[in-house]
Amino acid sequence: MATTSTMLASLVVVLLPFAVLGSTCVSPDVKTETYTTTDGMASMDTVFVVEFSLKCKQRVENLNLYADIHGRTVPASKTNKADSYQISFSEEHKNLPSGSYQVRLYDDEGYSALKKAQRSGDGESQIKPIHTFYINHPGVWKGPLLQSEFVASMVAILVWYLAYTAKAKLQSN
Amino acid sequence: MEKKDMVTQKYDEAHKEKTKTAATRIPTYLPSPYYAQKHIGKDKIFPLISQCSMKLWVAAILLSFTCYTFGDEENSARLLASKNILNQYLVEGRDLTVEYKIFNIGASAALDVALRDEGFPEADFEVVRGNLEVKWDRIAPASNVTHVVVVKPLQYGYFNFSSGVVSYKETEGATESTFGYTSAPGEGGIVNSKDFDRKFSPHVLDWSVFAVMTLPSLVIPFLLFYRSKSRYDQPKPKKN
Repeated sequence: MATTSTMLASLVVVLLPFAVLGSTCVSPDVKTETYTTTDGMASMDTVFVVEFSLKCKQRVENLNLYADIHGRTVPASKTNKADSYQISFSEEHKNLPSGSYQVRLYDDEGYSALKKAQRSGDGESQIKPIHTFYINHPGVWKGPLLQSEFVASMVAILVWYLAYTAKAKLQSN
Repeated sequence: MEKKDMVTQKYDEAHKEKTKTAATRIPTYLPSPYYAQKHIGKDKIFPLISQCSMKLWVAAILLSFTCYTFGDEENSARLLASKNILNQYLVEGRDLTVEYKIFNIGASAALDVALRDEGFPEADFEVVRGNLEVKWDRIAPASNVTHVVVVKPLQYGYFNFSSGVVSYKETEGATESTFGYTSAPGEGGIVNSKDFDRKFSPHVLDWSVFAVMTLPSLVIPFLLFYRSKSRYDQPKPKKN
């Protein structure tokens, strides 16, 4: 009896680190595919869509992920493919100018720590995300700066002006 | 003429949907049709308290009554879901952004939330990025989630944008899922890409063709003039 209980206890001691490790993702392998709005003429808001797959070194059951982009934390949604997630982020065009945006991924633990840090107002940078990547947003194109009709009529007026001044010069001689 | 109307028609429905509040927007799947109104009624009680403290007890009774009627719903999650098209113009072959927003207005977290939209048939739409079937493990009370799918219409014409389906568990111990629908953006005209380009593209090629065509009528007289001018202008420098 005593030997079985000690064996059980030692088993627990041996397996405990694995159980603890099992809940967090160690050295994740992340593949991302991003989409950002570039057509400002037809769309009202700029959206970032990131589809990514995340594989941890060990099998992690029921991993919930949160992404921190541009000072806002959004939960990642799970897709019907295994280990693949999606982050959606939308703002007005002017709030998301072109540039590189950092995305920090947190798991449940990291997210609650982040919330706590945000509430107390410090130590936010100390919380280590499980992965960080960047979204490169080229910016939205809202059509040409000058209307082509305007450019064409300006060119026409310039040609007419040159011809007219040349004629006036000839006639004055 | 009809095509031209389609070009000029802005996607008003999407605008209107955006301006409405979430509560009035998506009442379709709520178990009680008066749920949203009841909540408004509950809020109206609060100014009443501050206005006439004499009748505080009336307010107290009313408040306790509302609390009583909401007793069974107090500990469960309630989701409101919207589906919006974030485009001013819907154009064939151009990206169309669909945004889903799910609000949890209940008192507890919604669990096993699944969103599915079968409103984009493969023959008419191509998914550029995003998933039409997603899940969240939990949506905390008084919070919301946003989901975006970018699709590309493959054909032009009028298309009825229907609603997506949301399913979730109201409480921790719920055995059955609650089903609901998102708001439906309604019918929208997808513009022919040629018509759209005719109206909005910079027409650089058209203008350069026009410039090339006008070139002979400008350059030939100019060359003739320049030749005769240089011929008769020759003596001028000799004068000096």
